[in-house]
Amino acid sequence: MDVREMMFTALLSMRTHALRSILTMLGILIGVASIIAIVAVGNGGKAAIVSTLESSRLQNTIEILPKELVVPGLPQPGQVLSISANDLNLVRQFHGVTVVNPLYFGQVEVTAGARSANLNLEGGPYFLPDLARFTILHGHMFTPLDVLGHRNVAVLSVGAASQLFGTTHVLGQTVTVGGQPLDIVGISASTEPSILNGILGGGAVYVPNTTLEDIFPNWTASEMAVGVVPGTSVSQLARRLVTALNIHAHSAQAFEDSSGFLAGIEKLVGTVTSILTLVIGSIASIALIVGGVGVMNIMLVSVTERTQEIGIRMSLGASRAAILVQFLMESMFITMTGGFLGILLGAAIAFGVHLATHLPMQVSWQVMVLSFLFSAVIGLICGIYPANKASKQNPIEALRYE
Amino acid sequence: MIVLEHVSKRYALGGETLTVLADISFTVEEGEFVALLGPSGSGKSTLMHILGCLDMPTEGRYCLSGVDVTKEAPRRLAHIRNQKIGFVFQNFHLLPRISALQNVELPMIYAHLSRAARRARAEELLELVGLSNRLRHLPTELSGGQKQRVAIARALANHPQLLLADEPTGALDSETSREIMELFRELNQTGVTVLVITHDANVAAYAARQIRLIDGRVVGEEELRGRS
Repeated sequence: MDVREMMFTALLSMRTHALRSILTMLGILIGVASIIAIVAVGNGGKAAIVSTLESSRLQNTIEILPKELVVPGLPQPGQVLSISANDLNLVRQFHGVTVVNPLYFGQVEVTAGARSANLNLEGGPYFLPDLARFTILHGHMFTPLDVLGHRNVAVLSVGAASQLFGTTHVLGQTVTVGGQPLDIVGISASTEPSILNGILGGGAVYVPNTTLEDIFPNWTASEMAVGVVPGTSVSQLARRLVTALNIHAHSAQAFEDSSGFLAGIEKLVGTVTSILTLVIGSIASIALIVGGVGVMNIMLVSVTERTQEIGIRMSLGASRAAILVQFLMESMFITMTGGFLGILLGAAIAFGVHLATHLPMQVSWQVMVLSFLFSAVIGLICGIYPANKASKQNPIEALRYE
Repeated sequence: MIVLEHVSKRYALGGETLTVLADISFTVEEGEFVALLGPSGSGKSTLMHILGCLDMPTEGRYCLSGVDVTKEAPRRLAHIRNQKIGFVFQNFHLLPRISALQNVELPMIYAHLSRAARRARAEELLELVGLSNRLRHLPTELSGGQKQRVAIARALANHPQLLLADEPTGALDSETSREIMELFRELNQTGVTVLVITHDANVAAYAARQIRLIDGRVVGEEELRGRS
């Protein structure tokens, strides 16, 4: 019996019991669909995070920061917690470096009239919006002159303004930080990608680094933004700077540039999504196994129902092998159809999620091929027992069976 | 063509041994039309299963065109059923979900014939049994006599040496029975060896020779007329 004939027979049997076949393949269908959808959304999310991190890198600027703590709050040997004035001076001497700006981060109490709030205070250069990823909604960013002149000006984030004033129309008003009144010159909004926004959002006050140094002389910089002569190889210079700073700190683990930091985040995001995919994927595999058991059950029913057909086929010259293959094909046909429809449904679900949430998606063809093959294997495994049972029928009894 | 030598079939039922066939020997030559006549319980069906290579005798030898089938492996037996034997059953045993044409094609599928060759042969056979206008009908859309004609066409598909019919008229009215038996006679006249198993003397009367079976033993042979 050739393959085409067996496929025809399998198709016929499936069509005869259309509803039953559809219900049977539902388990496989749902299992495959959920795997496809989960992997698509997971991969898409990961790629989106990585690409926004990549695209947020500044041209001709190197960000250097102390290497992150392995255990929060527990400094490692050789760990540096902040950047000293000596570090800044060291970097300034390098060829290719134009300007070195320290960046300060801290939490302080900010007051406006009778109201006060604990907010993030960030001190930095006039291009702080690029580094801290925000944009000016009203007013303007403080200027290079503001920085040079140690002027008492501040930019408030939308969150900070609404916490302190209950409105964002606060240009020209003042806030007090560490006893020093500051004029509000601008209102900012974060440009972080939506995924990170929720994590990193909140009220922030941005001031020139020089002003911050005046108010809090004992704060140490937690990051430096190094301007680079255009045309210089940023990555090479970054490596040299980090090496020099590490030697200075007598530790190989003291500093890193933000590309290393980004790589760390990318790795972390990758690990998290892989773990999530694995966990949800194993749950979906349970659906596949349950679906496979359903297929086996229906195949057993089918073998019993078609006992006489088996007897007739045997009397016409079908060998036991031919009967075995026939029922195996049927079982595989059911699971493969389920797998195929599951791939379509999974891709549709991923697309639906994409439309609803604007999360990107990436339907992976490897996962498609793999789940299709997997559903074929399930059909094979779950079909073996019923098919074997069919092929072991006694033709005489099978012919008599009504 | 068919040689049975001291064939016995016994079943162990609990502690007792049930003898269904006892020491049966007979020969059927090629081109004969033989009836195996016996009442129910005489062991006809068991004998038919042995003759059709669906069952094995407990003792004795059964040679089909020179091959001792009692020594063959199951796989070979399937091949012998496919190539040398055509079955016609009392209840037709057509597959209900496929057309008359596809039913006739079934044995040729197991014989690995090409699609076109199968189709041509099946159409030819259905025309032979007078059903050329019923090719696409499902068995449920056919009368009893038409179903049996399809079954006969199917039995002839691979040019079998032996047409084995088990109560072929058992589910048919007398007029249709007559037509079916006439068809067997016509087929026999074209050279097909026919062995009809029946309890009905009227049916057996179509055969050239009768072998009577009672309680699993051959009790008599009768030549009705010259071999056709």
